[in-house]
Amino acid sequence: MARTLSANEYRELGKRFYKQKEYQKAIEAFTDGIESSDKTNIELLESRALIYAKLKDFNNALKDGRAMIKASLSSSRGYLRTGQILQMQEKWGPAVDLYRYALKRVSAEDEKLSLLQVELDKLTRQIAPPKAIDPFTVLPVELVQMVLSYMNFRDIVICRRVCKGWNNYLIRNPNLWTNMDLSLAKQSVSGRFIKNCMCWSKYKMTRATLHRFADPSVLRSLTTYCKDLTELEFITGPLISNSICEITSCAKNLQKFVYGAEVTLNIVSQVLHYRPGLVHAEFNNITSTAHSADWTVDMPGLKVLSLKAHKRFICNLRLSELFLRAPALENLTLKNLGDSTWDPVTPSYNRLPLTHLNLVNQEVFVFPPLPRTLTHLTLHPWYPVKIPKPENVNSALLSTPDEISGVTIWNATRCHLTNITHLYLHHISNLHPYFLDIILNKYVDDSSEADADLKEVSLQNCTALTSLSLANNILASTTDLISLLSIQRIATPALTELDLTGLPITDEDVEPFPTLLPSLTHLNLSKTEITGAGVKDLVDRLRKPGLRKLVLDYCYNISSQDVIWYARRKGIDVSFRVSEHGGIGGGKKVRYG
Amino acid sequence: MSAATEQPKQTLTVTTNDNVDIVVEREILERSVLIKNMIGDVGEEQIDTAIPLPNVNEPVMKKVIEWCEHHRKDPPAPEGDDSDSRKKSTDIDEWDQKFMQVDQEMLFEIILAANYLDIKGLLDVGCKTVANMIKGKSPDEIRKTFNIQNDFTPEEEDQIRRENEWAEDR
Repeated sequence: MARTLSANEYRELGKRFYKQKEYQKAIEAFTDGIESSDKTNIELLESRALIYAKLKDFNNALKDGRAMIKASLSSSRGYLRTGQILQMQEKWGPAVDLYRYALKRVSAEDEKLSLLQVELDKLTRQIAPPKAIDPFTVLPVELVQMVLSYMNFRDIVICRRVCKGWNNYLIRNPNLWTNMDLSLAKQSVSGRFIKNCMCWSKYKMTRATLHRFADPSVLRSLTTYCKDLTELEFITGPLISNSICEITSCAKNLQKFVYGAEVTLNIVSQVLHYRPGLVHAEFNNITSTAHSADWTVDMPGLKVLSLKAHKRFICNLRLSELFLRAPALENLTLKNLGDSTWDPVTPSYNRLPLTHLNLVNQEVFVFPPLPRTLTHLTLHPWYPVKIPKPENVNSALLSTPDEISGVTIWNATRCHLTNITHLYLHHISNLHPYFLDIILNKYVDDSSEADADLKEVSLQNCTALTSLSLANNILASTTDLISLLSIQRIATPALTELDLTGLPITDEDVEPFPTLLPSLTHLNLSKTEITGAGVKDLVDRLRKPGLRKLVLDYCYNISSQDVIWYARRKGIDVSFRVSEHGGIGGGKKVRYG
Repeated sequence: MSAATEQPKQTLTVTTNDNVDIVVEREILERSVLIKNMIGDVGEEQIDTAIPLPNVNEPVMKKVIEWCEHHRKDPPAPEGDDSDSRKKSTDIDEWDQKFMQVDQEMLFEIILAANYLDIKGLLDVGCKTVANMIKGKSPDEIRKTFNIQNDFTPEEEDQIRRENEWAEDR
């Protein structure tokens, strides 16, 4: 048929056919009209879609609906029509998705924008499960409170948008806002939210975890007006880290401060200067721009101090001064800080009542002296510490420690770690069972100076290890793994966690584990020579309580995934990475690297 | 003490508010602190009379008894210490999850009954189940789940949306 009419005339023609119920002819007329127009003619498409829908030819109807949307993405018309067709087909899910998408795309000026929301709400209610009930109306207040106690801060914030009733209930409940936790923020937080949150908490906020928020003036009012604020954590900090000093100095009752953003040593010392009452201070990303720390006030209450850098640099920490100022320190972590004032032979921490000591990538040329109070020790020296051969130990015992190996033995024999439960020794070369035995089971009593004999610790009065890591050490050439693990205080049913990453371990070595270490639940055998048969044997024989976590990253002798799935079916969380992409060192994600 | 209390499987009768008598082992029923205290109050002699439960109907009570039966050997719940409530886990064990797969009306009635009868373990599981129905969802999905009407004006909704932007998935 030759096309001789204009688009409008075809439209009129189609309408006339429609009224006469000559639907096929109407479709033809509309089709001619659509084909005769240069641009997509939305009216004609819509008319044709309506007829297709009436004839239950939904595929073609939807095709026209989609063409309408495509022709004008910001207009509500195509979405409304397509949504209607989907609803006629009872395709509720796709219709909901479409309306939601439309609400993001349709321009604010569109007159029918609100219609989209109405359709969405109507549909939402329609497809709600039968007997759906609003818990906020059916449950008494104390039970709603209980339900909310199982939700995190972000979930509660999202609940505000559900309806007026929920919003009013939530914002009139100050307890919900006293622990402001923005750690799950997906994008930047507005100052208005933080001000409102202070207000909803009735200024009784006790904890604040900040993330993706950078305005120092709002933070200053937070620490000034919320007098009960005792814990403050920054995952990302204000843009100018100097303002941190001011923000913390306003928080008069602050006890715990954790800072994850970049900060200089200078600011670290200033924060402690302004808040000497802190009990817990962590700085997890110290940068090297200011190399000197200055400890100017007494911090009698400080119990936990953690100073970490992501990249190692040389600085002047003046730890002996710090420790004199903080005599109650129990938990000390230093990482990647090449301290030029560090004294490896008589480190000043030895006078502190330390229970936790973590030295990671610090200069520790010799095995350091250790306080007796320790329960947790991580020693990961920057340069490997070399242990003297077993036969040289006794001679080193007697002589004055002048050379490095002598000092190592001297310190190891003087440490008397009766309380230790978590021992992590990494980056140690020439490690042998006799040395571990000295650390754990033997000591020299310096009070009787006459004879420097090695004495056995009394096993009744000391703890057995619950967690041991010997990852990435170099074992002495004559040493086999089993003799290392067989020594007292290690080979006990108390040991549940063991990390042997990077050691030359074969199936034969792990064979005695079930009898030697029956309670193992967490085992890391990454970068070892174990095979699938060895793993299966361990999984089968470590029964009570049984393995829960098994790390087998980069174990290239495991040739088939079968054993991995076998272990997973037994409920064990198995990590098995085979490529170096994505980093090395176990499968755990730690917020501060 | 009478001889009856010596028997291992002593039973009690409860009467629900729709006038149904249910006979239950005493040990199972005593998971309810309310009933346990009631028995203590009336004394062992009167234990033969049925215990009226004016706030619970038969279908709900049957579910409650089913739960108590499965958990009869559970150690008593530790007291208090809800201080760090935000970190509380919402993990529910498999049996309880299946048990809670009921329609919402029943779910809320179980929670209300557990609260009235003072059965802490069941109350916790119920509240966790409701929390899990809300957690990680968008406002729209929450409305859909509970059949709630969005009654904000566009201006109000826009204001909260802007305030809440940080929490939204994009």
